[in-house]
Amino acid sequence: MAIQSLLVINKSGGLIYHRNFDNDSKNNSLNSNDYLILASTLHSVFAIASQLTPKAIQINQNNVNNPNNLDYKIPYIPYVGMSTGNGSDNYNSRNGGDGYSRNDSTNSTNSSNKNSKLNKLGSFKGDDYFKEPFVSWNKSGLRQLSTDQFTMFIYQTMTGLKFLAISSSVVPHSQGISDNTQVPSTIEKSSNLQVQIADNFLRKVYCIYSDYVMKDPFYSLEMPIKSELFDRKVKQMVDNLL
Amino acid sequence: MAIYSFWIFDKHCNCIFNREWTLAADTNSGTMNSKQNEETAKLLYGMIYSLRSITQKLSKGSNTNDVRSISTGKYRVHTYCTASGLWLVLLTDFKQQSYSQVLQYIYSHIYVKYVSHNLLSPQDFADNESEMRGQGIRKITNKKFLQSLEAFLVPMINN
Amino acid sequence: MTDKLILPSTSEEQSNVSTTGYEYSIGPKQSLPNEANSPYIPSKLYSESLVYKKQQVALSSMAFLFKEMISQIYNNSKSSSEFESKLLNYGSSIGLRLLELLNIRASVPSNTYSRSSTFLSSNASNPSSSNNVNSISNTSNPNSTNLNDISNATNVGINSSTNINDKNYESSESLASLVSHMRCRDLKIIDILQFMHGTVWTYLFGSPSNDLVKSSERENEYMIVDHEHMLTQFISNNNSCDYFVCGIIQGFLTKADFPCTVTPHSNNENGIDGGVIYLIKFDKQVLERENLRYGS
Repeated sequence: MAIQSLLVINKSGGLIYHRNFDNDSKNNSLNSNDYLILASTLHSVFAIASQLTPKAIQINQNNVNNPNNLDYKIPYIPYVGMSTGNGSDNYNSRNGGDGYSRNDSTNSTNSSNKNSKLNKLGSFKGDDYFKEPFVSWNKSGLRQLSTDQFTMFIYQTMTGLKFLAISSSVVPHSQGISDNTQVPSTIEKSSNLQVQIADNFLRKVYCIYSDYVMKDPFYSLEMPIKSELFDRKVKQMVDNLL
Repeated sequence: MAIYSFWIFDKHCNCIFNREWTLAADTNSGTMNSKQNEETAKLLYGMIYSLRSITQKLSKGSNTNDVRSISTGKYRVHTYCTASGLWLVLLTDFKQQSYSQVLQYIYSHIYVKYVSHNLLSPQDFADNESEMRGQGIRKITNKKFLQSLEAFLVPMINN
Repeated sequence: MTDKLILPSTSEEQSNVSTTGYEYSIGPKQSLPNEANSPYIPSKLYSESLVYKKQQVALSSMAFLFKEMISQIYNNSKSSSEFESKLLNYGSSIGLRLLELLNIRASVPSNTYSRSSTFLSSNASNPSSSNNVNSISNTSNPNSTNLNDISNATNVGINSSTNINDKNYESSESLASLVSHMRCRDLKIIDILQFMHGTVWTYLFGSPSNDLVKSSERENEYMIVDHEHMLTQFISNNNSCDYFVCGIIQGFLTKADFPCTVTPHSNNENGIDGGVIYLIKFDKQVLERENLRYGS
């Protein structure tokens, strides 16, 4: 899954971080004002989406014992965006990352590298930011927008911060109408997997945010992020996802 | 329950048809063209309109970019926009990824057949100037249209 | 349209249950544990060894605390040099205390490192040790129980308890008694810097620093290189927060009679984070003394 751009929106709807990762100059890129407008529009649409829950779901929700109730648990997908060995998912991912981190993963027995390995993930010990499935905090807001050219994923944190990833992967059209009863399961599973990968990835970006932005004494809350270390770590993660 | 509701919007920002199913067990349940759904219609139109303008801004090259589906944590919205400014919108659950074929069929075999080719049905549901900016209330009440729509969509509700 | 506001960013679950305060459906409840009924368990603190101290604190908590300290100092300073010198002073007050502490810890022979001490271990399993204390006080000071004067009784009570403490303390350990031979004071520059690079860094950050380098250009300049600058690893675009650790080094060396000034420099080449270099510049008098004592 190739990430084209990443946006972070604060809880009042203002854009605090925006970065494009594709280096094509063909893209008639919008200027910064356009991105600000985009961010605030998405922020409001996110809220509106929660108002449009169909009545059928509202009725079913009051019935607590309904087995069809949606499960908001997102499984842990190992090593999304990490540079150790296997890479992330079924989409042939190479072992990316810059030379520094690759040396660390191969020289695991070298004790002199042990300390640098401990700090590889900032304040997170171990080789990945988290290892357990987690519950999504984004139950009724906008989560995914699929268009002809890209797919946009939104991850909302408990504090109202929104992380947006625009990826160039596209959801395919379904087969004919006659197949309605036999759902093409591979397409369905793969799109479900896509959302889960995106959620895992954006949660890790949230972990990086909590490290390099929250612990910076010169950063004022809700203001644009100007941290070089944050940029660097995010770029590493996006490169590892390719 | 696979399909929750179905809406049609025209180029004047009016909702000209809506059908909502509320109970999985009873396929005749729910509302059709009810006045209560007006606010929901406006919110839905606004959401799709904003997201469409965002996608068009973000589109690369000369290929036009159009919204295919919008998902939240609880439901999914599928849209099909025709060249005449008509929007067909379907709210479903997560079982199926893309309903574009379904919506295309509804447009080509049900709408075009029973509304566009119908000499007695109005093509532009806004009568006068005042109804051209979202205040229109006229809906599709064509019996054959309704019947064929029900016949087509009802089997899919309980997938 | 209704006037209902659509709230954009609220979390899904808004718990209305308050954990403090009076709940009418439940009634009054005891907020403090009933001290008369609970058994007397002396604090675990008393059974921890004075010698072995390996305590871990989450890096995140430390980073947040450090961040807040920096913000406070920054807001109270009028210029960046004032900010840096304040930070340096904060670090100095840590450094000069570290000298004494680490020297005595380094003097204790390493075979005495044990996890728990024996202090209070005999009383720990006894639930009515308070009764024990009373009985001991009775035997040692029989007249105390007959006195009605409150002040007198409490005075005697305090005396008896300190007697008990002394008895127990002698029977377990005292750090000073374990030291047979104090570690020699470092007189050479290279010795004190080795102590800094090894022992002090391990005490502060868990492992020795990455490199100790003598400058080839100037006689009085030495450098300590630290790749994982633990406290400031989350702070980008700015290396003035490293003045805190510089202060620790400076305070330590100054108290050890090696007056110097320490400044931080970042080791970043082409955007690759190479850590921080602490440049130590000893005063002229230190070099002169070194030459006189160990003249080359």
